Amino acid sequence: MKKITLTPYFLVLPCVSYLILMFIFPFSLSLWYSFTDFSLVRGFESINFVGLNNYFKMFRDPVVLNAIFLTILFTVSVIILQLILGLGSALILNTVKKGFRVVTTIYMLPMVIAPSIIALIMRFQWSYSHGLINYFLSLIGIAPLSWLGDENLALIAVIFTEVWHQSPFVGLTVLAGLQALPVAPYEAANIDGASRWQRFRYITLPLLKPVLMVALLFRTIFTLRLFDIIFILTGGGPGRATYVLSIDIYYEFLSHYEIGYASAISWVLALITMVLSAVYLKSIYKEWR
Amino acid sequence: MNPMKFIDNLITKFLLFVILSVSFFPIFWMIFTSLKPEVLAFSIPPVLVFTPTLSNYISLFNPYWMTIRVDFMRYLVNSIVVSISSTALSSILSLFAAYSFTRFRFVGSKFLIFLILFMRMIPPITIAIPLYVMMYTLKLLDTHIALILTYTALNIPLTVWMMRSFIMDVPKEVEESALVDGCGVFQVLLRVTIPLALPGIITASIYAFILSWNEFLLALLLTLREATTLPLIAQLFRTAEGVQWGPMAAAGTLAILPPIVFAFLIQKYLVRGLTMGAVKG
Repeated sequence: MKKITLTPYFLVLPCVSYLILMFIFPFSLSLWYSFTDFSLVRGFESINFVGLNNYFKMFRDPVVLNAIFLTILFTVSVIILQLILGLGSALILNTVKKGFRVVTTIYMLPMVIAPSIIALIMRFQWSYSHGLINYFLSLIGIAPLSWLGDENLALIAVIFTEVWHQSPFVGLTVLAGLQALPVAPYEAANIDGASRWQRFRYITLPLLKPVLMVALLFRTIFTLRLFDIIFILTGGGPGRATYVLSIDIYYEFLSHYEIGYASAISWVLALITMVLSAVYLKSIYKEWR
Repeated sequence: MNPMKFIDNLITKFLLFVILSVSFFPIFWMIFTSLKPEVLAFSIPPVLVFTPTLSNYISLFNPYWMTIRVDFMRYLVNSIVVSISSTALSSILSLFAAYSFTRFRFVGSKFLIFLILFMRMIPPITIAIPLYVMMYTLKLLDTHIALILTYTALNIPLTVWMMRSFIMDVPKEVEESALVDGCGVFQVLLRVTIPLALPGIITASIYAFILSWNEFLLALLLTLREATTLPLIAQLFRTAEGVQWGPMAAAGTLAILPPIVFAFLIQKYLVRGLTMGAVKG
């Protein structure tokens, strides 16, 4: 029995029109701006179409090139560490029987509180003279380090902060995957006398692959765009040591008011993200339809 | 229990302890510091024994006591108003859309649902710039409305996908029998689907609330003085590091409490929400 009815359209209409107005429209506007020399300093009257000039300028701009490099370096380092730590934590958390809910809630705390507050907390911990990190290092005889003030250390501090902040995401996702694993392959492996490592390597890991892919996708997308943590911790500095794309877009926009140029850079970030998303999404959601 | 198993168990327990400590310690330390008298706030080595005081919290609500005057009350009220409004708006819009996407197949439905998923993947900073220009043109900068409207747009993709995932769990047969009994689509939605999917719908709303409560980038761009929300206290205190760690810790503690309580409540469905239904926790 199939009737053609307008009901489904009425139901989605408010939501879709809202998204067109408040999402698709600004998104398209941003693309248009990226082909203009729009600047808040000159105002709306003098918007000129400049074609791909912003994009050409960008790929000669050492600041942007450095930002692209740092964004990729930062994202790759963060994700590798998060996958390892998240997977390890999930295996440990999976052994918990009593107080599971409390344990997982404590574990995921860094992930649920505001990133800007996370960064504020950690900014204090990384600080040269008041921070506990230097204090703990001094206990094992390491001289205090100027974590956020040193060009080489700042990126490391930011990477570790973000790893701490979001590895529970990987951990909890993998944990959900672990709890849904079938028992049969393990029983068979036990009969065959497989070692613990063999069971992990040849049963758990392959079965977890889809879940790991999901975690990888979401972490990549959200690490590429990361702004608040870095902005509060270092503001992109010292120098340009942690000046990733999102920070660059922010300064280009709010300090220089170069909307056209900032939009073009933001489209590079969006394009990188969209290409990665499209590739992953296909593999993850294919079973759904 | 054989000795191997005992050692094994011990190592696991130890590692669990390490994982939980690492997760919790910095947050605990902020809460701990917020209860310290101001003079002890940054002594190194840290002072562990002291008489807890609420003075940091009290001074938050009396801004003239502080060196940097933070009208904490305004931040708090703004956060509450903006988060609740945008949560309500996005939940209502998403609920009908999610129901439609789950129960009907219509021309363009597949395209639309994936378009909505795709929006979640787009970095907010890309739409933040035109949103700034839009709000500037409409003279809505630094108002609640600007934040409510933009947060709703950012929340909808997430709430639609979460609610869709929960409505799919409601057995179709129940709805069909209600239809046979003569209920209209809206009656089925109100009397059957919503009550059955309620835990999921509430979870999605709580999720949207947490996101709005924690949002930083758009609050930073679209507000200046009047509509500033709690995450911005980080920006405010950042510049004055070491000056007022006490009140700062107190403000941070109050700002993180609602998400922690809510996260505990929806803990069971958190993974499903985080991965937009791709992994069912």
